[in-house]
Amino acid sequence: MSELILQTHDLRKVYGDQAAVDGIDLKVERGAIYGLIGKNGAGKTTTLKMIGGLAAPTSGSFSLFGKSGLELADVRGRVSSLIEDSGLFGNMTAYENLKAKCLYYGIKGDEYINKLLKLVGLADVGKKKAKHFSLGMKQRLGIALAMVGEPDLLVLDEPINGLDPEGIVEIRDMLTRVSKEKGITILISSHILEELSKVATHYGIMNNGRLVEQLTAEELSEKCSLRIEAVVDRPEFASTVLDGLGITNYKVIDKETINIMEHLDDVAHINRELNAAGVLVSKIAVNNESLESFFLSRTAD
Amino acid sequence: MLNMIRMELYRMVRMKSFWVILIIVGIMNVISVSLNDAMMNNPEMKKAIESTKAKEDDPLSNIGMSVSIERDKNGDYGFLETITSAVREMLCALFIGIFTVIFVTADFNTGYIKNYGGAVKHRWHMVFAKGTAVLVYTIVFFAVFILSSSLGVYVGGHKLIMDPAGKITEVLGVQCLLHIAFAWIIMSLCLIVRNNLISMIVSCCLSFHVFQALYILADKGLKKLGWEDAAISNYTVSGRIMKYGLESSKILGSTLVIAAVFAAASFVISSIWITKKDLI
Repeated sequence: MSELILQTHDLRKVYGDQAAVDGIDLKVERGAIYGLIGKNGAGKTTTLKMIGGLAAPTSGSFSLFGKSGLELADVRGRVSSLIEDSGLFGNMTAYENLKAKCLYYGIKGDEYINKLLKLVGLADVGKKKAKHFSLGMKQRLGIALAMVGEPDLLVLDEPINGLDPEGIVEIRDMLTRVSKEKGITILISSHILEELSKVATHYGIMNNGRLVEQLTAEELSEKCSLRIEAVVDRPEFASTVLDGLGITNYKVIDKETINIMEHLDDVAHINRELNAAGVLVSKIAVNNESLESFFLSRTAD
Repeated sequence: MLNMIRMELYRMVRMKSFWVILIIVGIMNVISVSLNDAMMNNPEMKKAIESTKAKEDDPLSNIGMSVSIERDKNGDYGFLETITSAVREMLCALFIGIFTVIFVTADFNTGYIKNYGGAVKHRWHMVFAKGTAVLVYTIVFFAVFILSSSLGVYVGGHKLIMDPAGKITEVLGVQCLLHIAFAWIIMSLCLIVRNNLISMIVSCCLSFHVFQALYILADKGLKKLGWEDAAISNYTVSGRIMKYGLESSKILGSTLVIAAVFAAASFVISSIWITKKDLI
């Protein structure tokens, strides 16, 4: 496991008598694009607000770049966030909104700002005030603002909301590029699972304020891919039968289930061989789990 | 922190309200000062001013704002009298308070605070940066007010008699510091309450002497309890703004202390508050 940029320990946030975040232990590795998935009200935004320094936890703690407690103040400048809708000064242009934040970071020169505007596709907005921007343009500017100061950790809450399909592809490619080229770690929440699955390297599934599951992209792919699901009485013995058939890509899931990820067209043959070897097969079929159904199964109340 | 101050100053000068208030106050001040004669010679206005002076102890008569500039025996306008007539009626405080509310709450209301608030090492830096911007605005406002008042005298066809430089520095300097303290009180209120409407109402009530009316009522109550010299207003920034004029050198020290105490208390309270509370 590479260095942990972010680690939370039983992080909680309570509003009144409602626990919006109820004890989560998140781990984000350096260079990862960590996708936080959850239904509305799952606690994603509240979690991101705490990590982004905009809200304090009720209890629990988290460490950033190995620092926690009072030492967190020293590394806050390395984190940048876009939480909910982008906060912009409506009477200022895109350039001026960026300039204000650049002044905070001590960044001088028009070149930097123009480069950021080009990166998010706002190079041609000129003197148009932000209040006249479309939702997508505001979102792009919000992303540009989050990029100011070359943060080491970028916290993005639903960044592709309001973007057209072309914009979604542009932002997705940009995030992948900056993550690879600049080594920026990205913590991103989204409802659009298909889009998230194209960029995220790790996932955290939240439900009712809790982190239900954490898995890598490979693990998710494995769980969602096509396979033969066989329910048998003796999975260990069934394994030796499969080995004898030259099938190596399989996994014993539990006391009675084996998932076989190859020979998907040979279901009948596999069934016959298992029966011949004395294995009782109560069920065998080709299945897959879509991302949505995987997510829904993990977040069912 | 210096960078944060730069950011606040940058966004301040890009606010419409920054320029609109200065321009409107400047123009209206030139017009009203130049028409001061006509107003003072109006019989109804004379009656109203005399009536107000007669009811100084009546709390209700203190509410509102009435600016009239007394001329000297030659019919000329004294520089300090011209400026302080309006300043002591809280006219400047009114507009400084309005701008402070708009400015301080802008990055919370727009959500811009989300872009940098989380990265701030110590949140009291934010309070200091906003306070510095508001301080600069107060000084600029005073400069515009002084220039427009002086211009108004000449536009009205009168002569402006300059007071001694030391006196001008003392009176305007103290009033400027009092107004900075006032602005910091309003800033503190905005950061704690985070409600434009309440902050604006309190700021306007302070400027229109509504709180002075309450202080007078409270003084009456305290006198009944045995504190004969009760005068709460004397210990407030707004009270000192209304009081400090040409003949106030005796209370210079206590005035500066009151300004400093209120400014410091506002800064400390709002810094503690904003550190403890969530930004969004």
